[in-house]
Amino acid sequence: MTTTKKRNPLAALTGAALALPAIAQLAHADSAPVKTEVGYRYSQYQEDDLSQSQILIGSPERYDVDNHAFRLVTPLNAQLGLTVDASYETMSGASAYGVAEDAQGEPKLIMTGASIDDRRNDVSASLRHYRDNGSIAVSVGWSDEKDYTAYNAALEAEQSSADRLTTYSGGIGYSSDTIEPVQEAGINRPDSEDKSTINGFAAITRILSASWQVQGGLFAGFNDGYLSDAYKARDIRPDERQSFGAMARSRYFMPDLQAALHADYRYYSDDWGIQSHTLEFAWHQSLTKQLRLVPLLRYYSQSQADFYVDNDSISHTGDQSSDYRLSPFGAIAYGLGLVYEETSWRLTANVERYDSEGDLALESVDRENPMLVSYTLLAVGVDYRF
Amino acid sequence: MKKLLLLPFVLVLAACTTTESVQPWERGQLARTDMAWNTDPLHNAMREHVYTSKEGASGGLSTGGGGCGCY
Repeated sequence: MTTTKKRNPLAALTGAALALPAIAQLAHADSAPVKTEVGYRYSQYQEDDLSQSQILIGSPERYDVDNHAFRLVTPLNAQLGLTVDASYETMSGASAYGVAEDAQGEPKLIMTGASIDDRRNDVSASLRHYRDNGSIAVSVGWSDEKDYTAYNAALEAEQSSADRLTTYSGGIGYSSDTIEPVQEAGINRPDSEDKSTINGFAAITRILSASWQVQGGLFAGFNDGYLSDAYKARDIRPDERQSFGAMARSRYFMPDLQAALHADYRYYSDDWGIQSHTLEFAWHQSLTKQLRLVPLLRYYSQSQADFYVDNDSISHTGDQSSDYRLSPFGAIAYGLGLVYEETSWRLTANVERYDSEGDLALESVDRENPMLVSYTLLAVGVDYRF
Repeated sequence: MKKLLLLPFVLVLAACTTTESVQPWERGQLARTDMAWNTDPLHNAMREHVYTSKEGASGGLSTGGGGCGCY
């Protein structure tokens, strides 16, 4: 009697798929990495300088950042994958000390006089264990600046249905941060303050057709501790913040055009009174087998925090902040990416422009914060698989 | 405009109710690198880091790291 060994079609497909160079590096959460991949990105972030008409005192120069980011993804065995991320960045520029009204009653910035120089190191490692139709990952991280240290840990898991059409995923993370503000003569700043953050999410991913998959989910966060900005003149914020959000994402491939459309939407709300909408589209156009062009467009709008004030007057009492990040505004970002991919290596280049204004917000804004930012982000990178 | 922005979320929820079966051997397009949820984790980490430090909202369908980097 002869026995015929039946081959599992899923295993056959996975094996065939992994043999393809473009797919081999796919270390998605449902399959362990089979090759080691190392990556590097150099990013240059440059904010537009302020105009002198926006400033009462201080420097118009804003932040420039140089960032070097590294990633290692490697299999430890058939079921275990390790990802290590590390980044080093240097920052320089001036920041706003406060907002005051000029003689005409218009909000103007009081900037720090001298350029601030800082650097940040960030390292994180994630270990993911793969099993039938699912995986579980634990990660730890550390981040350090002159005046800021953070330790974080997270646990994530996902499980697919038997037909692998639906995947359920979730995770919970914790971060413990300490800020030790740089002291300056004549300015009263705290010596050392702490804050902690817990965040979590739950999501469902669904394959709708051979060329379309969607993902939807909820996320929440809780901050506790010192949440004010120690470098601002008058910045008093609540010592707790609860946030909630929902996200929907879609990936749709068009074989005739050899293009993939990415669409992401996020709704965010917190108990400081901020609500925001973020919508992003990216079009991944394959020009040849190796070359891909990726234009993207992102829109963002937020309402102001309940305690946001448009100037730092001593007449304000209780919680108050003139931080532009708590002000009402909208922003448009647009960019272009280029990917060139061979069997074992890949080159990337990206440029992105970001402009924020009061007029871009969904709701009308009476007085725009003069510190709202516009920036350009340039990045180049390389990945190598072996 | 606000209702328009909520449309993608409603569409995704509606789409999740469909039951079309896609066999494993039909998933080549879904496995393409340009169809990944995050096509460039290193670059997107930098982008997200900047957005988080410039905007009032943050968070998404992952557990974020830590650190300030508040330019």
